Amino acid sequence: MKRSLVPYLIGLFPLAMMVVFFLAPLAFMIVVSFYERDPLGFYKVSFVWDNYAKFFSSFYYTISMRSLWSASLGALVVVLLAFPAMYIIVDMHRRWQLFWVILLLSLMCLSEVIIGFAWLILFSESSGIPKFLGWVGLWENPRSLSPSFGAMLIGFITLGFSLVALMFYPQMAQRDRSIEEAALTLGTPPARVFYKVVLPNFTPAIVSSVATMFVYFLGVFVMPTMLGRPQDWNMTVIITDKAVGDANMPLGAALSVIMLLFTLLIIGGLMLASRKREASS
Amino acid sequence: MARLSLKNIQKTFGNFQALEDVNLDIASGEFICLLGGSGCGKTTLLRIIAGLEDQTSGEMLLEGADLTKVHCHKRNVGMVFQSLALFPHLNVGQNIAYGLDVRGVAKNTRLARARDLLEVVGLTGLFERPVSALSGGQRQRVAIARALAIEPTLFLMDEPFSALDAGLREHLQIEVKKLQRKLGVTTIFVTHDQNEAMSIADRIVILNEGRIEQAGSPTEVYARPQTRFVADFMGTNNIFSPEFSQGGPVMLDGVDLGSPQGDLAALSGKYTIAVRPEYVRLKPVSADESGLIGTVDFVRHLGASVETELSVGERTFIHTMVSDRAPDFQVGDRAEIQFDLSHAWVILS
Repeated sequence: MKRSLVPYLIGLFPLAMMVVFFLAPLAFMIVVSFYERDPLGFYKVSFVWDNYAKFFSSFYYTISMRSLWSASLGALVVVLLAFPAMYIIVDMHRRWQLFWVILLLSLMCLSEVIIGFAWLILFSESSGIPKFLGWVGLWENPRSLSPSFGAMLIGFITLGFSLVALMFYPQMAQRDRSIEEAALTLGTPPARVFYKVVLPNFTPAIVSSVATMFVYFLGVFVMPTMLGRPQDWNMTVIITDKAVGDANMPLGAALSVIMLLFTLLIIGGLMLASRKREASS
Repeated sequence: MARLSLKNIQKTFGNFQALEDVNLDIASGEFICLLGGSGCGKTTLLRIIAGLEDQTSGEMLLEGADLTKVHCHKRNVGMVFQSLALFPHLNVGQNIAYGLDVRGVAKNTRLARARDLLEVVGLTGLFERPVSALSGGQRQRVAIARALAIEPTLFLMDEPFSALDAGLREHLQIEVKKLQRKLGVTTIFVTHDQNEAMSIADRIVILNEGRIEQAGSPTEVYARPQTRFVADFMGTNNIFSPEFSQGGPVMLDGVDLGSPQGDLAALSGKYTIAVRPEYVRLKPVSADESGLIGTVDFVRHLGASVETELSVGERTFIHTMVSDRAPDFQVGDRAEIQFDLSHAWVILS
């Protein structure tokens, strides 16, 4: 009798972790999103839809669209760069493979703040890339490259590149290379093997990486504030601003719930499309 | 159909010599089996022919034209890989039609050809099925159909049946042989299984440490292995070195094995000879114990035949006899071993 309880007790542990660290804060956030703001404190217990209604103003709509755009673009670019890079790395000599994997792991150890500061320096007019380009005569009137949308996007890529590349590594390294050789023997020119065979085989992995990076970039805070202009800031920055800066916790909570729903919708859509594709092939 | 000539093919990987001076002529429509153990170079040779590896030196001529400079994707070889390498993102029909698609063949034509080939390999009705939903044998057939769809000049197969169970493997061997005869395509088949090579090949090429040890018809290679390696590989288990004296008795460790016959009669001195297990006789030990006496170490009942292993000092001899005529010896019994020297031949050590 006691032994039969053991699997259930073991199963309770992750359930308890989920409740304590995810479901309870989420439930609390949902409850707070219906409260009213108290100018003297954080919130007043109530049940109002005002916080959700505010989202439908043009300001929050624009911020939402901008967040979705920067996160989607960042996710796409980082996967488009990391996938072919890892395709090349796994075919290198073992020593070079090890070098790249260690380098990528080291990059992952860097905090968002350090990466942001490094790019700030490199983008600065006085000491970074613009100065160098001016010095070699490629840029007549060099000026700082940040803050800008491009600088923020580069920050996103630096953050996500090693993570995505290492996500692809095991699958890419263990792939059956004879599939590519079969394509060659059947008449596929070497340059087209990647597009005809490798890419289609990795579509599920690519889709899930794009989805992961999308969710990750939707929640980044440091890069937009350090490298982006105010008009580039995403919803995470605005939520922080409202919740902490304006002490409007209910509005921050409502915006968070809406962003969570957006994310779930997009991930659900991607999963559905992926399942349909698998079923049709 | 094509005639392929390999001349002095060498291949090295760093300090490792994978192939050494391989010379081989393959006739149009011939079914060749490259046979050998692991690491003997058979797959490397196949990959060189396919263009997936470059030889270090040597020449490869297809119908007299140099094949060396032709890139893999232009060689028009149909290859079945050991892992089969079916495209997981395409269904059965799309897999078979892939090579035609790459060649720009019109959709209707290539789909019709794929359907025809599905019928040939006995998979009619599975056109739309995902390859992940096929059984092992079905996947083999799809891989074969895909390789044949491009009407290849050379049909190459790299141990395609190694992962299948014995029954299915034998069934597919027969099917492949029939299909090859029907299409008349020049075929090179790599295997480490001598029974598989014997059952399907027109000619067997035995490789050892990157060199061709012997090439010949299955009967020749089986009945007359030229080297100790080939003899071992083909299951000629009785190899020993007696003394010959130009027609006089053949002596092994002071024991008279009988008079030599045929070519052996002219020999003088010590030669290594081989006798297949089916040309060994076992008799009860005579009273004077004058013959070659061995002790039965193992008796194996193989259904149609019984195999008896005997030891004489450090030497081991094998005797095979059809079950209903096999002598009744048990492990530990002593028996007199006699060789039919008319079926013995000299081999290179």
